Amino acid sequence: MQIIIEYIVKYQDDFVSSFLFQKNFPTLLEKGIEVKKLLDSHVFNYEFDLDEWPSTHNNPQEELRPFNQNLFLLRQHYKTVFPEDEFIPLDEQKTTGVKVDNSKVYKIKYSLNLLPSIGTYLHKETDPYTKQETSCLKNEDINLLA
Amino acid sequence: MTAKEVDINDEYQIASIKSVIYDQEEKFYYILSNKFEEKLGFFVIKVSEKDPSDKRFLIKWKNKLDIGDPNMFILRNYESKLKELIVSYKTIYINTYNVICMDVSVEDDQLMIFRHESFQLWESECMGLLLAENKDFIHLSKAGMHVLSLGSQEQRAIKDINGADRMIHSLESCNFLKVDRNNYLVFECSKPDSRAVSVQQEYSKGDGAGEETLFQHLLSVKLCEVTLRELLLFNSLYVCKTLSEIIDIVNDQPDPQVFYKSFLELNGTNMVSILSFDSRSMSYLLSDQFAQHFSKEYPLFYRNKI
Repeated sequence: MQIIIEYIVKYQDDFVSSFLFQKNFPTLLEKGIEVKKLLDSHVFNYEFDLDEWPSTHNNPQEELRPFNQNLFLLRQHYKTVFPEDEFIPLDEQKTTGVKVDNSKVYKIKYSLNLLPSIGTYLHKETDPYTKQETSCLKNEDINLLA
Repeated sequence: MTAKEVDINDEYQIASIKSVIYDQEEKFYYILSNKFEEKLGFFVIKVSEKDPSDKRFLIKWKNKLDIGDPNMFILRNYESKLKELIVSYKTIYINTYNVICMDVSVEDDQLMIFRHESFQLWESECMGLLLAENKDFIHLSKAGMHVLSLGSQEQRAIKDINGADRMIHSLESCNFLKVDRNNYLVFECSKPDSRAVSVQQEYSKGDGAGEETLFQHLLSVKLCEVTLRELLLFNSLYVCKTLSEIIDIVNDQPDPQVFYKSFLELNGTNMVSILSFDSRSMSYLLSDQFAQHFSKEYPLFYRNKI
């Protein structure tokens, strides 16, 4: 398993590979398999640059937010993750009339930590047929604390 | 009769309408157009029979390509209440024949389920038809006939005229490759010697008139045709009685490329995944000396049925 992990870190260093570990990551820990390289890689750390998310802002602070929606719908959820007025994109600040000091702007680097998806987590999903939003526990059979 | 007359070209900003199909059940028209706002591409619009202003673009794919010989079909599954729109057409310049399957029973942004791409010369005529019983899609051209299985049955055993056993795999049988149920599959089969299945994510960019459909590539799997020599090698591995015999066979291969190839005969996986229980085989097969066979685009480890 160690050899496979090393291969994945070297040649499949992408968030798509994280889905391979959703069920078996606790087993790797139990069996004492070294996962440091995996945790340091981009497998569970999805760095993204989406057109729908602002690339610059005047707020230089590091912000940590939860995201429980589908990963592939991330591009639609900037305002779900950052609903506050202070995070309104710079180009929208003029139209909304929100007064923010934008004399200095900074490049934003976004990353999504995918590690919480390997244990039990609360998942929000919108039914495509009924449009009803439901919350359910995912990966209930996987317990990181056991 | 409402006596309301609408010029749909002006109303929807479309031109070069290629095909129209009527859905009797829901009383909607599906229109396939090649131009939207003067831009070439693949555009499908769902329009209400009673009120033409009640419309929705199912896809706005601005791929800058002329399309020809289109066919549209509606495929229903009354048990699962699924309704799929099957659209087929050939494209200029890249000389491909596309069969696109969209789930139109949902009011979602991501409707594409499959896209199958095969070779078709633009200058040569062709047509597609959907069979009722097995849900097979037939592509007829001067080169002959291609069959695509669009039904839910994963595999279907058939016999050819020489009595040889053959297997038809449905497009749905590759669904295991998806990392999320919103993903869609692209079967790139325009070059017979390099067939690949790609997992992509469909998304919309922009609002209103500037909106367009784009695709995010996630991963690809090359599907190879197994040779007799490779089959004999696999058979040798399966008849080995001890682990060391397997390791000997693996280590004896000067070019282990056969272990990295994915085959439909192995349920869409490769021998590296099958042999992953053995660390000594893995250390040989995944060593850096064979790095020329490894790439991020075509991963060796992906979701499989094993």
